[in-house]
Amino acid sequence: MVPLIVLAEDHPELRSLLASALEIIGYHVVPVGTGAHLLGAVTRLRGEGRAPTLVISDVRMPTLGGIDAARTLRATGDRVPLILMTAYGDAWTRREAASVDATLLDKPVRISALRDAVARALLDSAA
Amino acid sequence: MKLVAKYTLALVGTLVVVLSIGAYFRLGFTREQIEDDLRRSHSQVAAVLEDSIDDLWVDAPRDEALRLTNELIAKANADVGASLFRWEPDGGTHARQAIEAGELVSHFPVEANGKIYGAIVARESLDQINAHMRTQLLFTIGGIVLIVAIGAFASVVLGAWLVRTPITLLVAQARRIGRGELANSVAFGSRDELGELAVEMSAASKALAESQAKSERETAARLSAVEQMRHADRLSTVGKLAAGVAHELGTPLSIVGGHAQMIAEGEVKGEAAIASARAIDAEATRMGKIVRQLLDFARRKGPEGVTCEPNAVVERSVQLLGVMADRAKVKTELKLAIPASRVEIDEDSLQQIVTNLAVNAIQAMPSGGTLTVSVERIDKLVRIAVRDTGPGIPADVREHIFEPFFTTKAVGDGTGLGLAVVHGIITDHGGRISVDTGPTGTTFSMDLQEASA
Repeated sequence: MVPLIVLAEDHPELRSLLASALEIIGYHVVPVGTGAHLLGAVTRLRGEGRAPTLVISDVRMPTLGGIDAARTLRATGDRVPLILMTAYGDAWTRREAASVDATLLDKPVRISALRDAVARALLDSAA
Repeated sequence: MKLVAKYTLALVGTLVVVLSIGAYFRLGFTREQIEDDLRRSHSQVAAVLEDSIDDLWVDAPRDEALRLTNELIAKANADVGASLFRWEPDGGTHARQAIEAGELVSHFPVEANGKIYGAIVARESLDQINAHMRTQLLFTIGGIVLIVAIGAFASVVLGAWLVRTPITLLVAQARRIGRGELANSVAFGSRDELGELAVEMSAASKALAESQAKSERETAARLSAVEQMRHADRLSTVGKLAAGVAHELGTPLSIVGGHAQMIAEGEVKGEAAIASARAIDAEATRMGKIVRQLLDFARRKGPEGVTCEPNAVVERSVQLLGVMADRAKVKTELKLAIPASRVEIDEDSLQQIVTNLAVNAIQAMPSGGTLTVSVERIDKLVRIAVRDTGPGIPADVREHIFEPFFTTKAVGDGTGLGLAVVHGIITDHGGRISVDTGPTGTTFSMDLQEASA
């Protein structure tokens, strides 16, 4: 089964770039623009019986950020693997990422680094 | 057991022991004295009798001597009022006095010319002495009991006064300290150990209260330091700026790097590669703009001592935005100061300020409105105000509007540096900026120093 990835990034250009970079190597990607849309997409997909295999999210987004969205996901008992991306990975961000059991990627994010992180997260969750 | 009770019991025990020992020796001594008196009186009477008797036995015949001896003894008995003395022909050869079977028995041999004729023997019962001694003993015991009772009473009363009252106060104070009530102190004026304890206790609770107050002050100071740090962090600090730069450049750099990588690895080709290259170009332009604005932000201080005429600068700035205002259906109004004056700021900086604020004002009225820019003189100040008729700034946003990289605009619409630059330029020129916002519009007012010449 093809892994299904929900990708949240507020910058449209970067969002489409990352989505296509992941689609080119064979993943299905559902791109969204905010943390709220991220939660909506996860709920909708679960309702359709297609729970996402992985969630990737930017940390700093308008209204609902990636950390808050991840906390909400975890609070509903969702154990889906998480990758968070941040341009400013200070101690607070690292601690919060660890507390929601997420992999933290620093921006500028390299396509190869993102693909590696995705592959590792999928392997870990399969094990 | 209470302290006073222990103390009293110890006192009673000591008194009983000491007084009993004293009484024992005193009673013994008294009895010995009485017995001695008795012995002495036996000896004295016997000595007088002996003087008369020994000559009789030498000179008179035996029968006559015996008769006269008994007569003399009877007379002596009559003098002392009891039949104590007797003549015993074989009453022993040595003078001795001893207590035998409850009576004092005294033997006084009568001797003349080396011959012992008999002995005067006195026997006196000690019953009377014994009875006297028993009475003495009873009185002594009664005395001891009385003294001990008075001592115990005094000990209890004094103990209550000297010990229990201060100790009750000290215990109450200790309990108050335990409950954390440190304001009270205990004092009862006495200079004994308990008084000292009270003084020490009061000092201790005072010291405790002081150290508590000190630690409270320190905590408060620490909290306010943390607050200040947070505040400083929230405002335009290097950290905030760095976070903003990292975020602003992180995204375009990700895009540039990502497209480049995909082109380099042949993942995008032809038209798609051209689109990727265009995206790289657009992001590079965007990053250039950010860097330029950062430079504005850093080098916002204009040349020293330069002044300009605000009416002209404001008018020109608003004219330059005419097209943008028309497109947004925004009407512009100018209210200029009469007569014109000069302010202590260079033209370029003032134009940048007015332009930034006017652009924000136009963007704050998406469905049209009126932009009013005014210049007026108030005492030695020149106030330049930019007013829109938009929906106003929410309170939570208002706190942050002067922070670098803070923006409410969609990605790409603004860098979040506009108002931070305005704020920086105004304060660097000794001016002040304030914002007044409500549901009918927002006014940014800047007060700049009027040039003296």
